[in-house]
Amino acid sequence: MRHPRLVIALRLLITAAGVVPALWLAWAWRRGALGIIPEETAMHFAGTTGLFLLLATLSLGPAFRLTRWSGFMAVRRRLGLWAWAWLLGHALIWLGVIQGWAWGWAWKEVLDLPYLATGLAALLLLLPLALTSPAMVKRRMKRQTWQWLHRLIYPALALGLLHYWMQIRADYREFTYYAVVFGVLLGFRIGSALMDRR
Amino acid sequence: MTRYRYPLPPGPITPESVYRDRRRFLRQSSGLLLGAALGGGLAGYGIPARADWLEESLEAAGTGPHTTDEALTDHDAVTGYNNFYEFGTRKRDPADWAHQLDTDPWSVTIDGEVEKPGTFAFEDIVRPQTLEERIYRLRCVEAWSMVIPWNGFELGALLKRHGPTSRAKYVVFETLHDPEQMRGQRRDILDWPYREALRMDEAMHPLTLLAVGLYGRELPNQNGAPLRLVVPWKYGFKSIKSIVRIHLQEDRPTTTWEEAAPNEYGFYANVNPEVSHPRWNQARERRIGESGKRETEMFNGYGEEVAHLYSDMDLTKHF
Repeated sequence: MRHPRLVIALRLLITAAGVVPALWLAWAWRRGALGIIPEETAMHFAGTTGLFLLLATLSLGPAFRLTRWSGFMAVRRRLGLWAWAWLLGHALIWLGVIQGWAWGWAWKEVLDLPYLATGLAALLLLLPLALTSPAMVKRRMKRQTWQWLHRLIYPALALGLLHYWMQIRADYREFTYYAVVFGVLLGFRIGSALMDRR
Repeated sequence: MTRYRYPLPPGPITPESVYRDRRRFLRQSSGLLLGAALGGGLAGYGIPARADWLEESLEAAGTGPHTTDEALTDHDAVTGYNNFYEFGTRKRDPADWAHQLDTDPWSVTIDGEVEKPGTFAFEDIVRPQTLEERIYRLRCVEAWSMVIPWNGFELGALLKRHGPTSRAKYVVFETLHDPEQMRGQRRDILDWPYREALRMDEAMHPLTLLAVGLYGRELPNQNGAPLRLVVPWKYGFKSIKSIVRIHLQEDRPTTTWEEAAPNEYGFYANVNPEVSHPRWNQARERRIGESGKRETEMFNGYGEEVAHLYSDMDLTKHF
């Protein structure tokens, strides 16, 4: 059973998860509640929001496998695109506001600072996923090719977490929450792949 | 020499600590008789006696040597963007939570290889000293920097009063350890209490300052009140805050950050654009309040004064 009403509710929830943090961020920025360097706070907020949404996207597969409710799969693209939007925003705040669109400087920074190169690599791995997510594109691709391509979410998340970890000096608490969730989801994926093979 | 002028921040009519504590005050007041609440509540909020003489000394402070004439970093940035993990690891945590620290009364233990050891009241340590204003660059190990007008006195002047013995080779400092007042210490992100140290010649160097004021005012808690170290040619983490102990000893100690990650934070921690942190480059820095980046200078631009201290050392090894 698909329970169309439940699907609609889930869609609304996902839209809210994408939009409400943006409204909060805009409001807090205007009010001057983001501290002395608001663009830095905003960039960190966008990064962690994107990471959260990407992990939430990744958890829909296991949720479907465990419940067999197809509604989870019906909303996956929507959530994944919100995650992409936030991570792209995260990078654009860095490039536009912090580096002031100075592409030359920004590139020099990427070469200088390994955590930037790592973050950029993670974002680039997600780009083909975003590009192939419209239903029209998906229909034209071979199912297996599409599935194989979308497994890039795992290395992208691993690189994203590495990008985060490389900047921490002592306080690993928040990072650990994200890393543990990723570990559990990765474990689930490997476990179910092994079961399917049998 | 003309004194560098800067606009003083407008003074609040209500002391900041009282203002910040207003919610607790209201909470405590409710349910009690109004008279009793006011009587009991206000008695604890008397203006500390320390403020009088310290304000006077701060007003009398002349400009000391080694002062830079670079544009000062905004007062709000200096007091609102801090690394002081005792109050939390986000940059705004110290400004949000440092009011929970009570710095009056305050005492400092000076012991180890000194002729006159003991525990001394803050007043007895600071009052004999003549305060100076020193405008120093501060370079954080995280590749950002500020220009800050400190008020304080040379650490060397204090150490001389206590007579270091011939065995005193290192000066070790400790921050207060009190998770009740310093909420960041309720988690073991670092091995509390925070410890820092200098070699004796670094400690006696005229650039090395003990600060009690900032921008001509009493040092705000988030900047390390009531007494903090300022070593302008080293990364900011060397400049330990809210000091309760100064211990002189013969052996080189291990400092807090060195212990946490010895491959990332060395004992010397001299600002050095040529030695990268393992995870980021130190060649450039962001001056808070500016866009873009500046080139980082060797010894944070104080090489003329301090390079000789390290003339026979390999700074790639002793970073």
